[in-house]
Amino acid sequence: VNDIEQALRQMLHDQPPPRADPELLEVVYARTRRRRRATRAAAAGCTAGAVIAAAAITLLLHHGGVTSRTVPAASPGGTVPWTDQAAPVYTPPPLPSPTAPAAEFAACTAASLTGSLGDIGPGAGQVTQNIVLTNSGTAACTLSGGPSTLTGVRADGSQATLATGFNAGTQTQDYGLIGPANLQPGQSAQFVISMTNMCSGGTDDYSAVSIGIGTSGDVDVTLPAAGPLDVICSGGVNSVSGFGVPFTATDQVSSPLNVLTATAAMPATVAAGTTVTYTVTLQNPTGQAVALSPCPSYTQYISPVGTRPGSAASQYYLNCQAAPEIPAGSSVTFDMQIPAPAAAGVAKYGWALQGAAVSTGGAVSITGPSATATASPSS
Amino acid sequence: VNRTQQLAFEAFARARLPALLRFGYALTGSQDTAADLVQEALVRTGARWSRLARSEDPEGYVRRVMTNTSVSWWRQRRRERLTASPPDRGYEPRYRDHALWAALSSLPPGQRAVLVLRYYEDLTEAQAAARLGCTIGTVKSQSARAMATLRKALDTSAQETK
Repeated sequence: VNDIEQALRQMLHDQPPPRADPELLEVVYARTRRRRRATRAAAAGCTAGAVIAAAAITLLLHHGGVTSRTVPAASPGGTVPWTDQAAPVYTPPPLPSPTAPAAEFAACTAASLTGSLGDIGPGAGQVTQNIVLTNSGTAACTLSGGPSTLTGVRADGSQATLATGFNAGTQTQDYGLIGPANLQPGQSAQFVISMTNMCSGGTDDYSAVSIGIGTSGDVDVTLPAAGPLDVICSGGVNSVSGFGVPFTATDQVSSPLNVLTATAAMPATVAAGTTVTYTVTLQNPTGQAVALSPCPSYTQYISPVGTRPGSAASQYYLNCQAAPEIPAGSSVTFDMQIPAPAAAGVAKYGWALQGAAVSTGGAVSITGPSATATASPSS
Repeated sequence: VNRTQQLAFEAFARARLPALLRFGYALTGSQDTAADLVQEALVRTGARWSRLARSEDPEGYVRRVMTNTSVSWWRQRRRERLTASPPDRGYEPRYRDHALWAALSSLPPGQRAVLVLRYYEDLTEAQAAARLGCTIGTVKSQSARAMATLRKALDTSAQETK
């Protein structure tokens, strides 16, 4: 049995390098953002009714595009008809690896900074704590390097040196970019300390911390009684990063379309081998119309769970003639068509504007063709 | 539930993606299914991030959802049709032709999950039970059944090669 256990261990750990799949996280982000918005709207007692843009309806009638379509009776206005205009697959330009900016201003001094605790992030056996430094002075300054010392003060007044020095070098970390932070008054930089969480319990709580800023002195941060700095496991601080700024959501893809959110209305079950009609609503929550010019294209797929969507994906242009813009504070619903997988089972679907961080997706059940349905209708 | 939390969740997802994909691969033996599992589990995690980031171990939660989802997907698919899953593109594990690989692939995902938690994650029986939301007894019996299947498969293949 020990031999089997050993072989099993080896086999489970013998793995291909995990494959980076740019779509995967995009879909996750889009779906969680949408859920949050829905939760907030519900909490505020709002109704999220789809608003169909007047301009879109006018154009839609102009083009007479509704003839071949059935508008669901429940639909109050109308949808923009699907247009069979294939688009090329978008190839993203290579992402520049984020590089630290050059220092632009005079060095920040301890006197011009105030500190606070930022987010706590989980990791593998690690907890990270962001410590935020805000330029509270009246002039822009640059925070370079890292904290020279980090001292904790317990509620009883006793002190502990948590760290001296920081991990040198310009590098990206999971939680942001490390490098000079050019701060206008009111803007913030951060550094990240990490602690192990591999213990059965115990924290060392600090009600104040002092952050050494080079030779200019310390930034003293008094923490509220309810929110001390917990050094988990009492094991001290494992590592301290240099100063930097957090990643922003736009580091990945920058496009004027990114303000839009997409919501798909896909039937819960679809029949295998049929053409599925569904809709995608693009909502513009901003006060400015988003022009669909140049006409954006999208990629869509339904593919069985456990297969790459790549080969099942198809790319088309939006019907920009019928809907030249997404008006401010409004939404436009587009009809979509896509072939369902040939075999029954669980499938996933995805829809994304190409070259933008606007996407939606979900799961759909594919029902198998019944005995009568498989009989050829042509005879 | 605010923008900061959304960004914290996104940072978490970005940072933990490779490890989660590896765990999914150990669970399923397929990079494609692993990607699906991770995606589904991350969406569910993001939806309750504000609670998870405070009180629980978020990564443990993601892995628990992945384990449960792999079992329920397998049940759904078994009802339709059982086919040998097509191999992933690009990577042939050293063990693909090994009898142990075939035996592992043939296990119901519940049993496979127990083995992955025990021999990939190196959890104790109690920890595995907590992760799966079942009793230690169930972990023991699932594990024993799975090991018996593997042993039998290896014995058979050893005899065939003699």
